[in-house]
Formats: sequence, C-alpha cells, structure tokens
Amino acid sequence: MKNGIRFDPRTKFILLLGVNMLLLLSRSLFLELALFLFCIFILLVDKRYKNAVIYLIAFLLMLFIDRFLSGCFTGFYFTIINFIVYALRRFMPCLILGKWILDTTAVSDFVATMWKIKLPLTVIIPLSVVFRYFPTIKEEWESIRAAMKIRGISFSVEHVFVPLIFSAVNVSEELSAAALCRGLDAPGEHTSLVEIKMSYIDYLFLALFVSITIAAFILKGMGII
Amino acid sequence: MIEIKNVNFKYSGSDIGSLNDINLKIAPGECVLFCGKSGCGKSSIIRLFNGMIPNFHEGELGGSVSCNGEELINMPLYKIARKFGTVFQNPRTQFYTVNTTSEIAFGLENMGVAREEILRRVAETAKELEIEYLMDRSIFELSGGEKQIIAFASVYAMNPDVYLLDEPSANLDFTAIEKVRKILKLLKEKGKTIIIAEHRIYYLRDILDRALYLEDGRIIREYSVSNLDKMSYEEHEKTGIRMLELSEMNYTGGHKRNNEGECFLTYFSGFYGKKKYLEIAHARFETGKIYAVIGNNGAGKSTFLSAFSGVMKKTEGFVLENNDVLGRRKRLKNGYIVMQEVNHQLFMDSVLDEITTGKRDIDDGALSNLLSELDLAGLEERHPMTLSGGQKQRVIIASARYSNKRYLFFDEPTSGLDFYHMIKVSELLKSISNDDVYIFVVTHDYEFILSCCDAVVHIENGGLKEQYELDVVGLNRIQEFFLINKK
Repeated sequence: MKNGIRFDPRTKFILLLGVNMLLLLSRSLFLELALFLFCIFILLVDKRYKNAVIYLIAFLLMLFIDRFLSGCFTGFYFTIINFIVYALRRFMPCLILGKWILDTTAVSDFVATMWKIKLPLTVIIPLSVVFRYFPTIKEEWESIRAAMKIRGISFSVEHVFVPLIFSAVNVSEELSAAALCRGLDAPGEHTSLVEIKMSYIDYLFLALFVSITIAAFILKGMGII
Repeated sequence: MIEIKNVNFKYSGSDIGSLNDINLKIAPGECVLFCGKSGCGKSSIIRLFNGMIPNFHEGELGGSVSCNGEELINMPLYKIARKFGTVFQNPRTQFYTVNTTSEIAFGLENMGVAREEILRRVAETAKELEIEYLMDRSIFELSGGEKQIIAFASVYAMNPDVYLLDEPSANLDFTAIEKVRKILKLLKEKGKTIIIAEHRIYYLRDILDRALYLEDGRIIREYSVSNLDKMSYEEHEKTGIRMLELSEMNYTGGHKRNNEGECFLTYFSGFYGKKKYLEIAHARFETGKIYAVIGNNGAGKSTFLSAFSGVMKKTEGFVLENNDVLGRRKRLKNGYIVMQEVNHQLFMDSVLDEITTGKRDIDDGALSNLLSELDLAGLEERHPMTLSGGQKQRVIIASARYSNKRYLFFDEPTSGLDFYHMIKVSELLKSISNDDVYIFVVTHDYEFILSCCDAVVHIENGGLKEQYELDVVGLNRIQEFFLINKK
C-alpha cells in the first residue's frame, strides 16, 4: 500500500465499473485483449509486477486452451473444461481490478470516499460498520470453534450461529454506542484524515479508458468487432 | 458544574427503576467514583451523562441533568460528545475504524476539524500519552491493554472537559492498568473532571476525590478516600467494594485437602504452525490445589492453557498422570476451559441440556447434587442466554463437572466482578477443589489469588519462570510481582 502510485478510490471504482460494462459490448477477442492489457498496465504502473506476470501467464494459458487445444480435443469433459476456462478468461479484467482495489484501498479510504461523494448518512454508517465488523466475526468465530472443541460438540449450524448471533447483536450495539459518543451523528461537514484527491495519474488513466471506449464504439459501429 | 436533579429512569421493558431519586453535584476537576455490585445502576449513571440514556437506551426518564446550567437531556448526542468523552469497558468493541491513527482522528473528523489541525492533534495526543509506537497499526493486532489506551487517546484528541469511564480496567492486566493510572493522573493534572464506574479501585488511589455507593439504583452512601481505606473485610464483602489498598488483603487460601492425584509435564511445548510458542522442561501439579497462572500480557498464559487442555493442534513432549501418557485426544476429553467470554460457550436451549450436553441417560442423583452445589436448582428449563453472567459461568462449570472433566482451566473468571461476587467465585473453586481435579486459573486479580489460590505458576516468555506454593515466601513473591508495598 505504501509504494506504487496512489490512485483515488473514485477512479478505481469508475474503472472497475467501466471495464465491466465495456466487456459486455462485444465478444471480440480484440476488445478483450485491449481491456486485459489495460488492466495489466495499471498493475505495472502501481508496481505490482509479480501479480502482473502471474495474470499474464494465466491469461495466455487460457487463451491457448481455447484457441489451439480445442482443435485437437473434443468430447464432453473437454467441452466443460473449455467452457470454464473461457468464462474465467472473460472475467479476468474484473478479477484483476477487484483484487487490486481490495489490496490497495484501506477501509479508511473507502469511508473517506463515501463522505467525499456525499452519500447519505444512512448509507455510510451501516456500510462502515460492516467493514469494521468482518474482522471481528473472524475473531468471534475462532473463539466459538475453540469452545465447541472443548465441549466435544460437533459442528452444526445451530450451535455456531446461536452464539455468533448473540455476539453480533452485542458487538454491533457496543460499536454504535462508542461511535455515537464521539459524534458520528453530527449533521455538519465531516472532514477526513485521509486525503482523497484526484491527481494527474487518475486523469491519465480515465482519459486512456475513455479513448478505449470511444475506439470500441467506433469499431463496433463499423462492424469490425 | 454538573448537576443531576431528581432523576428517575426505567429501561423500557423493565418493571423496576434502574435509577431512583438521583441527586448530585460534581465540581469541575473532581474525580468521582460510582461503585456498587453488578446491576446497581452505575453504568446507567454514565449513560445518563453521555446521552446514551435516553437517546440510545430508551425508557422512562424524569428529572434533569445539566452541565454549566445547560440541560443535557434531549441534547443531540454529537453536541454532548464535545463536552463528555466516554471510554467503555470492552476494548474489542469500541473501535469504529480498523487503524489506530484513524481511530484517534475519528472524533475530530466528525467535528469537522480541518485536516491539518487533525494531524496536529493526533500527533500531540500520541506524544502526550506516550503511544507513538502504536501509531498507524491495525487495531486487530493490538493487545487488550493497548486497545484500551487507544480508546483513551481517541477521546483525548477531542479534548472534552469531562471523561466518563465505564469499568475501563475490567478486561485489563496489571501492566495495562498501570498505564491507565498514568493517563488518569495526567487528566487530573489538566483539571479534567473524571466520572468513573468501576469495581477495581486500587489504581485510583491518587486520583479519587470521593466515591458514591449505589444499591438498586439509589445513591445510599458517600465515601471519602480515608473511609475507603478504613473499611473492614466484612464491609468489603457486604458492599462488594474492592480494596483501595491491595496490601490490606489477607490470605485465605491454602486449605489442606486429601487429594492425591499428580501429573507431570516433561519437555512439553506448543506450536502455532511451525513456530514454538511454549516450552516447559518440567513441572508437577497436584489435584485439589488451585493454581494461579500469572504473567504479563503475551507471556504465554493462554498458550499454556490451550496446549495443556489439548485445544492446540500441535504439541510435543509429554503429559503424564499415574504412569499414563495423556495424548492430545485424552487431554481434550479430560480437560475443560471456562473462557472469559462465557457467551461463546453456551450452545443449547436449556440449562439442563447445556449441563448434560443433550445426553439421554441422565444420572438424576449426580445432577441434582451438582445443581444445588452450584446454586442452579430451579433454573433447569431456562434458556442459558437469559441468565446473568455469574449464572452462565456456573452452568459452564456444571457441564464440565457433569461430564467428569478432571482438568479445569479458567481464563480470568473474576475480571469485571465486584468483591462480593469475586469471593463467591473463589468459594466455588474451593468447593470444586475438594474433588479429585486439577484447577488452573489464569488471572490478574490479586485479591482473588489471595482469597483462594494455593500455588502460583508464573509464565514468562513462553516458558515456566517459576512455580511456588503460597506460603510466607510465596506470598512475598506474589506481592513483588504485583508491585505491592508490604506494610
């Protein structure tokens, strides 16, 4: 999170959404390749070389199975494998961007962005509590599993969820109380320690993406892709 | 000046009032303690000041609460939050963010303070509370004590006039309490008003101005510091107020019992993954003795419990009893940990099922003996989650005893208990120890150790530092560990 270039979380979400929509435009390999390379380019700029190489190899491998092996093999099982590989490949750009966003965006960035784009309080508060609650569930879960082991109680939905739900109710209540006692419900402007600001890199990549989109539409209109 | 006039409060859905005829004045810069047994209403008083009553916890409220002439009841929470900062009991659940620095900034962000000013205030807070080493860390990798200090810092950054503390030491170990003591001293020097609801009070010695004692939601007595100092043991037991001076506590453990079992640990070690977290070359334990397992946070006390009881997957070395090697599965079958978070250990939908783990062939005689011994008779059909904390703890102990578990491990059974209930737990352990069982109690509670433990197992750096009986020499050692000045 420290090295590499800091993208604005808003850019990240626009790109994720945009790439997904554009993928639906056409089934052409050319467009898919362009978007895939665009994603890889983002990773390279963000200095995530290892991830980029892994994705590249995976993509080429899947392309190879689809384009070349399907000439040599036929049959039920191969068709299934080929279908899965094809679907996975089509989803690669989303997977890459999704993973990238999760890896590079801290919870506080998410929350700060939500304030910045002026989402209503009724959206921000539950969402940020959810982010906060996930790691807590993990802790509670482990503790409950240990307790079951000691009691010699085998795993069952009821035995896990009853204590988990009770603890969830307690935790969320205490969490909200603590947040309200520090003024979460204040109506005025909320500032943020994290600075959310568009920089040249954001504009650069948004511009690049817009050009890909325009090119794609033109080519589609001409019937090339 | 804070003033409460004729306040009565009843939680909605409850028949009895939680606060009755409360009248009091607190001067600026004063440190006032609210004490009394669990359920006496001291947390409700804190909630009244920070506006949680009536904004968050609803109910019938009458009377007035004012601060410098301004009425607090029905003031929006965010306005109250600028004057009153609250530190809660549970370090695990009072964080809104997942990072220490953002947590400290959180209150300021809500106040709309400019970014540069937030940065300055956060840095200043870190410096004044001496927690620079905790900055920009994940909340989830901190110890309970460190979390509680961050909770203090996040309130400190907002610079309120009044600090409200709801049992801040309940989940803390001895060293963390020392840090809280230091912070409170700083606040007192700065002239802040401190209002605190708490059981453990020894750490408030130099800070406290007076204590108000509550019973059934009424303030029935006021104590000065010297009143608290002069209390007799019987008064402590009756009121549930803990010792202000720990050295006053007398030793009442060390009873002789006729149990003869013994077990050994030989080159015993425990691993998480490939890393070794515990190594004990040799140790010997006897049945019928209550062992206090002590040590600083992170020393390996919990690891000791989980390795010994068989919960930990990978252990090496041997546990021997009567020339038998107890492997992991046998230890798991014979061992039982009563955890600090009792709610995680209750799975069934009635007390009876909980104790018998749903077994059909119930031994009626043994069961009714157990129920009456543990003061649970008449509760068989209740849902365990509807019981009080102490009752839940006893149900868990009952289920361990019913399935004839012989190695009983307790994790902080008296944290957050008043003196009266702490003594109850220690009497309970004493009575269990008459049976042929091994009892280990991880604890930071000096008063509890002196009231029932027979020997001490001191864990340090993942190893056994020393093990001793609580005889005259042993009592000196335990006092040294808790830094108690002998008289």
